[in-house]
Amino acid sequence: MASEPSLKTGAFIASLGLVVIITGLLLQQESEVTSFLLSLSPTLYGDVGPGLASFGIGWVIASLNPLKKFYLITIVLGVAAAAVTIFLSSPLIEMGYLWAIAWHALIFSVAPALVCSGVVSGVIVEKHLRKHGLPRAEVPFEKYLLAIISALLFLFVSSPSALLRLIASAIASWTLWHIISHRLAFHLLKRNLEKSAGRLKLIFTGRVESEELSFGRVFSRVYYPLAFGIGASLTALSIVELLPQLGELLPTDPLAKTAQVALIAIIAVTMGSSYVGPVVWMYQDSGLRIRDNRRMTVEEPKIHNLANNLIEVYSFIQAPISFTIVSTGGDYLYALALLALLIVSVLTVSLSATLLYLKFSADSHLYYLINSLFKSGYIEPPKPHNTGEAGETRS
Amino acid sequence: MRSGSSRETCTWLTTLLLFFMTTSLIVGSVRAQEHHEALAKNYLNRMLEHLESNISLEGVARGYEGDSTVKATARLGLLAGYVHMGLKDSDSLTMLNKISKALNSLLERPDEPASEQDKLLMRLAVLEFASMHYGLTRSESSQKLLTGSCKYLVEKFGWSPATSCSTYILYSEHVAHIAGGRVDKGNVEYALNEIHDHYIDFINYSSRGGTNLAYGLNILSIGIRLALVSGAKSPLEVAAMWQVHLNYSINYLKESYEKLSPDEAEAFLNGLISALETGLEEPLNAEAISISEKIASGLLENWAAGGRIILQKRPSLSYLPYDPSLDFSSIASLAQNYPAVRVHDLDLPILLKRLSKINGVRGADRYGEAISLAVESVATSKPYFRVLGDEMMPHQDLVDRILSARFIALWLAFERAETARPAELELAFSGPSYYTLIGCSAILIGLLALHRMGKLFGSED
Repeated sequence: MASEPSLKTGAFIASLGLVVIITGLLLQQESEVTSFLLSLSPTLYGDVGPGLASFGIGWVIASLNPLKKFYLITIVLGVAAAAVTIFLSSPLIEMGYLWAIAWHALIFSVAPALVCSGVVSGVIVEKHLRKHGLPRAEVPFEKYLLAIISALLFLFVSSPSALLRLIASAIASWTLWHIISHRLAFHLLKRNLEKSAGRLKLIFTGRVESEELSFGRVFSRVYYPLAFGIGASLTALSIVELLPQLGELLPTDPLAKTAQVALIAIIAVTMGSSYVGPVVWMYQDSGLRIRDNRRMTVEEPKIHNLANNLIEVYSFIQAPISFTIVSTGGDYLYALALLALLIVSVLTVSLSATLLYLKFSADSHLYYLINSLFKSGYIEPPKPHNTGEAGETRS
Repeated sequence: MRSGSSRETCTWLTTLLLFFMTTSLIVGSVRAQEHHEALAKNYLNRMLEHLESNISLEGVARGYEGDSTVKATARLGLLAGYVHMGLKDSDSLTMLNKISKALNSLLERPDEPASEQDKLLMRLAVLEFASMHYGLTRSESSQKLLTGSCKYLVEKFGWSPATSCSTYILYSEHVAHIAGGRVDKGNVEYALNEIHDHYIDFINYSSRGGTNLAYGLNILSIGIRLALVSGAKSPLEVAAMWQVHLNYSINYLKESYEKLSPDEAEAFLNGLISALETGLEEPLNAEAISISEKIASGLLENWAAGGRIILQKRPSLSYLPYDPSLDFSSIASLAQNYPAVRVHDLDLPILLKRLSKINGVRGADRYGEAISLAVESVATSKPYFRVLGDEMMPHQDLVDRILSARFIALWLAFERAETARPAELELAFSGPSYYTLIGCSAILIGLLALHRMGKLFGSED
């Protein structure tokens, strides 16, 4: 068994953090220090110290039972630190100095350090498991932690009407996915096969993957509706802004503009992402492969390339960054804050809808898809010797 | 096979096109904005150079005699105030404070003007400078000048919205607000209470209708907006008065829109925009917006043609007091001989700039074109933009400089305010440092990149 994440390392980092905090506080009391050291002291006790201490504590929690994925608790604690602090208080001018420092430390040091410590220890544990070929343990509390994270995200929204809008969008997204995505997945496959006039043939490998609610699985899935929502709406908006007649549809205030865009992105998630979300997941989990008789390839069924490209790096990185920089007139810090706001609000909807879908719809949809394909005669039951892996190429 | 790969190429090309479109949008819009801002700042820097050569080492205006020295120093100080409002740099602040110091020492031993009217002219010039300087710098000496001068006005002419201290205090706080500074809650409460105490005088003034009504609406709207911004308590009666003013103005405009002179139309447009800028949800808002847009379109029709701003006739009395060399009798005779003067109207583009920021406004595009034209015309003029078309004052260049610098400074201030961070965000990012956040984000983004490249967990990924 690898020694990391170990209790000793965690305790060492945590005590280092405490030492840094105490040094910072002592420096401030000292009257004979240089002005440089004096200016350094808030950084020590208000930023680096709490950061190191929380990273250490997170590491200790993860080390208590690495195989039972205790690092997930660390991640959830990190999200909770930021969400609860923001929910309980906003930065007020009247806030006392110490409370203001604590407020900042909880959001900008404790929260990122805990999340980071959880993720790093998770990566170490996973690497270890893969290296030694050990089985992954079933962790019963994992799905509850996911639900807690999803609920915590709602705490970032302060106004009741916005909160209601987000909850309604999440439920609407899931309802829409629940009603149409399995039919859409079947219809798209059927259309492709019919159009190819015998060139394409569907193979069923029989390796249907059931959706377990794990962090890795859920977050790699959430990425699709999230990136599509942001990418599609911002791309549409850049086109709208190029047309002078439509350019003034949005308010000029960057914050109001971002809120508007977030709303449009959420609508895009709701309306459009059943195509890039559940349909893609169904194709990935169904164990279906398409054999192209002319190109002699076997690959997973795919959605349209443009939609695929929209959820790639272009949309997820470039579009939001350019949008926020344009609207803040080149104020990068403000742009970054707005970007975080945009991603958190879309993620809130996307995560809850994905969780609901994976919990309540995914299995029945997979069953529907495969069953319908059987009934229509597009696939045959897998033969024992054919696993579908031979000659497989992934694009 | 060919059709498949060509379709793939096609979608990749579309993605690439979208990529370039958004990139060009970001580059284009940032560059256009920066170009205009650079032009505007250059213009104000030229005004600062002018001030440096026309102000003595002590900060007194050069080339004037007697009581006109005080007026000239105050007017040059006003110009310095606008320059600082637009540039917000230390050079313009030094100049502004130097003039303020000089003006205070000049007023300690004033060459008292012969006539009461000339004294009034001097006081008005000082008052306008002091409101600007106090708003921008919170200087105590300017606060004293402000209250001293407005009290003098009230003593001589009685209380009215045009003379009262409350108006000048609100104006000063308004300057602080648009320049991005903090609004003083106590001052706003003081001004609103004064209006409350004199509400009969206020209503008497506004009930004369016309520009008086528009002026009253403007002051009340500014007061209410500043109260909302600073968290000051506004007396219920003042809020009620504001609603009555808004209601009356809208009714008045519905009836007599056709009869309005451009001057009056602009005054009402200013009042309505200020009312809308309070951001209060009012049943009258939709009507106020549609009337504002109607007035704005009407004024825009005669504002520019063929890419040039048209000269329009305006009452000369609005411009004559800005020339410090003119005494009261010369102003009176000039106003009699030339009741109207031809001017390039620079107030309209600023009104349009404010109007286009209000939610629910439709013509923002057309307004944007007019604003760009005004900024380019003014900022590219050398050595300065001639606002007045007719030569009628001995120091007309100073009047032109003040009016054009006011336009540029307000434009820059509003431009800045559009992209300013909200106060809450500013506070949220006022922590000692963000090393933990930056470090942890870098680690997480690095891990994400490795994961996407399939290198985090090896080839299995």
